[in-house]
Amino acid sequence: MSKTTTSAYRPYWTAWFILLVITVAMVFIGSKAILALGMTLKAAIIAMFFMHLGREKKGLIYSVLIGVLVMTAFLVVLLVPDGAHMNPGYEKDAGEGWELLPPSPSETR
Amino acid sequence: MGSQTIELTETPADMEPPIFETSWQKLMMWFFIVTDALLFSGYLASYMFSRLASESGWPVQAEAFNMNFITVMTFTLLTSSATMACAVKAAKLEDHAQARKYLLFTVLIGAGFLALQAIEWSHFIGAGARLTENPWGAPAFSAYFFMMTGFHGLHVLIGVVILLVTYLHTTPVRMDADKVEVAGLYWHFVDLVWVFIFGCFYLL
Repeated sequence: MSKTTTSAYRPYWTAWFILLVITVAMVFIGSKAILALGMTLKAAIIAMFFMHLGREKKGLIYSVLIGVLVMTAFLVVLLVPDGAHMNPGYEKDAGEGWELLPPSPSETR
Repeated sequence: MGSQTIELTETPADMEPPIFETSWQKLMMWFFIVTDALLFSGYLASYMFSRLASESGWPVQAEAFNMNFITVMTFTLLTSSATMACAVKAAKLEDHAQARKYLLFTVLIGAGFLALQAIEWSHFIGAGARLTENPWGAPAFSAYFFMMTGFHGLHVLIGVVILLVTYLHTTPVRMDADKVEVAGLYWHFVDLVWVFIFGCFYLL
């Protein structure tokens, strides 16, 4: 019944295998560098090999990538460092604003 | 008479050259993916913020979760993404029987992921986790767990429904490869989001 041979699908299963290997590396090594590299690699493999972003016109590729990456960079750079500064343990003199935090569950964990 | 009837049924969108030389359906799916990706990057950024801002130590994930189980969930979703890519490829090659087979696999594996997530949620709730408190530490931990995995699970559920509808709308004879491709784009995006939830929430 099937007209296509398995070779037509081989690239997807290769990509799948690489994704599994990266996942296992992330779980068992788990250093921050490996996690960041692993997430980036996995996202790139899914976008390129599964979603075929590379086959689209340049305008579409830039629209998607710039839209997501620039706005995400803004969110992370503008928001995340504030979290550390709001942590009372970060500086003795945390300044105003940290009362907004939820009450701490326990002093000693 | 024939040609006039055809012209009347054409909408202006049909007569304009396609933007980026792609169908508007696919273009709109890409732009939806951009906005939906920003939803999840907002969640992940606010998650990192709350985690850094929490006074008590953030819970050790391995104490709250069975990491082997989470890894199996990740494998499940990755596998469904691979079968979806095969379904799109088969539809493009006009091997409709094969495409339908892969579509059905994807639906089943996606439903399997949802089942695994339901099991994980019941374990988590059974251990005493609520939106406002949890036994492991910072209350924000369980709040972010429910919000992020809940929203992702909702996306998976919607994806399963979309793929099931796509499957039911096709027959071995008649199949629109473009529709399968657009549904596939959404499904891969759901997988892409899980990559970051898995990395940032469970492993970091």
